[in-house]
Amino acid sequence: MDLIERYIQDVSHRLPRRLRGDVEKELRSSLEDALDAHAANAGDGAEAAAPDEHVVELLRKFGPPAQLAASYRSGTGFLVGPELYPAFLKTMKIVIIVIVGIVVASVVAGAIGEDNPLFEIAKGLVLSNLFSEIVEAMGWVVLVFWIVQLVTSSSRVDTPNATRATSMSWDPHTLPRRDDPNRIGRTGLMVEIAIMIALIVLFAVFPRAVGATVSTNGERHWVALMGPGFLAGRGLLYVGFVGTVVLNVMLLRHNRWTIPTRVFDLAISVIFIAALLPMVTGGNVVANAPADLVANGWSEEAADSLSRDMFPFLDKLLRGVFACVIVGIVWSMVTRVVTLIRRVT
Amino acid sequence: MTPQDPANMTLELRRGAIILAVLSQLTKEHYGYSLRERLSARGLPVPEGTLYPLLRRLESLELLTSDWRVVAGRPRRYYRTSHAGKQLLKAMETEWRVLVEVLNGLLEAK
Repeated sequence: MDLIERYIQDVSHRLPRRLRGDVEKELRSSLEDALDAHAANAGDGAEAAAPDEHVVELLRKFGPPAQLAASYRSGTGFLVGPELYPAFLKTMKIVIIVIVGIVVASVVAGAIGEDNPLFEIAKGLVLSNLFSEIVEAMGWVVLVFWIVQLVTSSSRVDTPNATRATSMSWDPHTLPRRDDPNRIGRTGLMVEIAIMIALIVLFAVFPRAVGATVSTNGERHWVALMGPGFLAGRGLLYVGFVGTVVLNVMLLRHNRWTIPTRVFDLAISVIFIAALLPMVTGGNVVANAPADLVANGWSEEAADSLSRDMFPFLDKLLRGVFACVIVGIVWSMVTRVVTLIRRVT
Repeated sequence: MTPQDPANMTLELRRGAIILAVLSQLTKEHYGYSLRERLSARGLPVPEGTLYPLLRRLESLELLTSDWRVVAGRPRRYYRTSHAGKQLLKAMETEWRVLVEVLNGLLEAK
């Protein structure tokens, strides 16, 4: 039955969304009818092949997924045929995600103000017409796929003899394995729980432990990287860490993703963004009060030098890293929202 | 393999006949598998990969109607020739009979 489900999903994957549900249902029902008839014949004493062999034979009769999908679509006219449709969809998704990334970057740039180096980077991306160029690229993607479609149309699937030859040489065992999108990775979840707990302990009990040994003016001391800006956003980070632990425990209990856990997962992402955003836009992320440095063993000259030369650079660097993390979270949220919508519909 | 291939020409001829056969058999309702079995039993086996998409295409042309029903725990889509389908069937049947007669005459006189 695994082969049958893989076959149905592969055919469905090549069809427009509006056709999928109905075609899947009818295909499944027809394949099951054919298998039942085979089982009944076998019961009547007819020589029967092994069940798996019969499934393979049956699927060969239905033909390769691209061929069957093309039959469902023939007569409707299309720029990109079923053979190329999955690759086309994947390419378009990448282009769209890049566009969303640029929009987010421009929003972040607007929020952090002109004195931040990130603003220059984002402004450069937006003003260099990259946005319109990428939209134009979408048009090129369609054009390229259409040309490939035309070039490969000599081996089109609606030529019956070619169809028959392809069906016979096609091996259903080569059908792609479709992982259950709701399946969870238990080891990964447990590792994540351990990391979250370690971070909570680290930030709450040993905030000065995050840092580095710095040498300047012949002095060498430990500098904590968690400054006032970072510590102010800590509260929400804790909520995010605890939320992640709760979510992972729920997933381990239910052993799969559900719609509520997917929504919860998105909510946690929003919390992490809310925690990181003030660090990008707000006060100093790195500890750089000269008085603090002197209290930790630095001379006044060295403290001044660090505050003037090194901390502003480290501050920008960390803000850049946090901004990238935010973009990464938003990116991942977009894909998770798409998955969620698919599960709901 | 091109549409001009001799083997394809035979199949092209068959394709039109399959539409006529389907419309004629669906004056009584059938689901996909039962229709295929019926056509097969009467000497016209139609590949699965041809029949199911054809049913959908004929339905989209409003020549067939269909509805889902659960029978013996299995959802099945039952098809029936629509009013427009019956009109087309009548026209195709007349055309078919004329063609058969003419072609028989031509083939006998070759």
